[in-house]
Amino acid sequence: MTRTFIKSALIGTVSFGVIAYCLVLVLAVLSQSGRVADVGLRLGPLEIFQVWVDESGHHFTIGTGIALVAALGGVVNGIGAVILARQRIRSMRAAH
Amino acid sequence: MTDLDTEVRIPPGVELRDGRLLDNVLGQTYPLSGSACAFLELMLQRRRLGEIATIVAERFGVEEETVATDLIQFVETLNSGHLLNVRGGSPTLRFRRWAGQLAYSVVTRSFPTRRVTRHAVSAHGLLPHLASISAILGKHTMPVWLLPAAGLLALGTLAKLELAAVLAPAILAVFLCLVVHEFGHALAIWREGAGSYVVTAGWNVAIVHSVARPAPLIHAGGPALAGAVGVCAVIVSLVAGSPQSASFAVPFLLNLAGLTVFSKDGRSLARAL
Repeated sequence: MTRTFIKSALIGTVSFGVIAYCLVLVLAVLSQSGRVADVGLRLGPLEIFQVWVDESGHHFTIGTGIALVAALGGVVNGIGAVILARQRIRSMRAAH
Repeated sequence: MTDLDTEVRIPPGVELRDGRLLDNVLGQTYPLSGSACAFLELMLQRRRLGEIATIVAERFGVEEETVATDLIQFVETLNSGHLLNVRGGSPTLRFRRWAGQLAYSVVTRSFPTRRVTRHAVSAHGLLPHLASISAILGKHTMPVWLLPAAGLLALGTLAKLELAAVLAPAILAVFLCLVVHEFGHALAIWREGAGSYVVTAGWNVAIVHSVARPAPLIHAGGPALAGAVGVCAVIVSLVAGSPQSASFAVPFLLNLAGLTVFSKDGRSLARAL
């Protein structure tokens, strides 16, 4: 069960990390083309991400929130995989 | 939902031999009763269900209504097991089916069981294999996916003309990522050397294979390949500063969520780990 959790958490972390990071990059390119000055998302004291564009090109910062999204995604995926594994074991026991 | 006007076909890869139904792709055999064998023999002659019910009722000396009920149940069971393709039906029945599915979706807030169609894929080399999968997707699922997408594009264009140039690549990517996703699964199945076929049901599509043991790579192959294409498109958009490439990448990137338990592939992957 621990191995299932670790493997699934790793897959979830990588998947959500890549999705969140790449979507911020996409937003940076789109805001550059649309000449949007400043785009960002902040939850209380935590900066999820911020993208801003100046005359010379695009500059963007990626907030610590991206890492949080990845970590949360990993934990949720790990827990989900463990729940699925338990359900499977329970149904196998019931079948016997 | 099936009626006596419905046409049924035994799909490629399935055959009737010595009173048994053989699935040559999955390597499975299903023994049949005398009446089931008679049903399938008449289906092979491309007769409608109404004609089959009349002939079998005369042959076995049973009421036609009873035979018709059994026949419809038999057809629906085989269709759900991918052993029989069903098409057509009267216009009234098609409307009733559509209205029934709509009501079912509204009341239960879930999608109803849809009529399944099995398609054979070429087993003569990797390229013909991939070409046959894309042909099936192009013919059967592209119209279903592109129609709402085109409506969205039209709405976006009405709101702001410049949006069309950015939205159009994303809409094209929605269909392409479906093809790439299935390619990923097909490549992994091909690597295992297993037989497979494609199943379509409305906007849903799936590759069914004969690998019995847990194979994480088969479940992960689709989302991983689509995600890799998305990452490549993001790199291209950063290098070229192209907003079209950036919006093209979005559906591919979201496909990576298919590796997590929030999707069917992800749940199968978690079970196979």
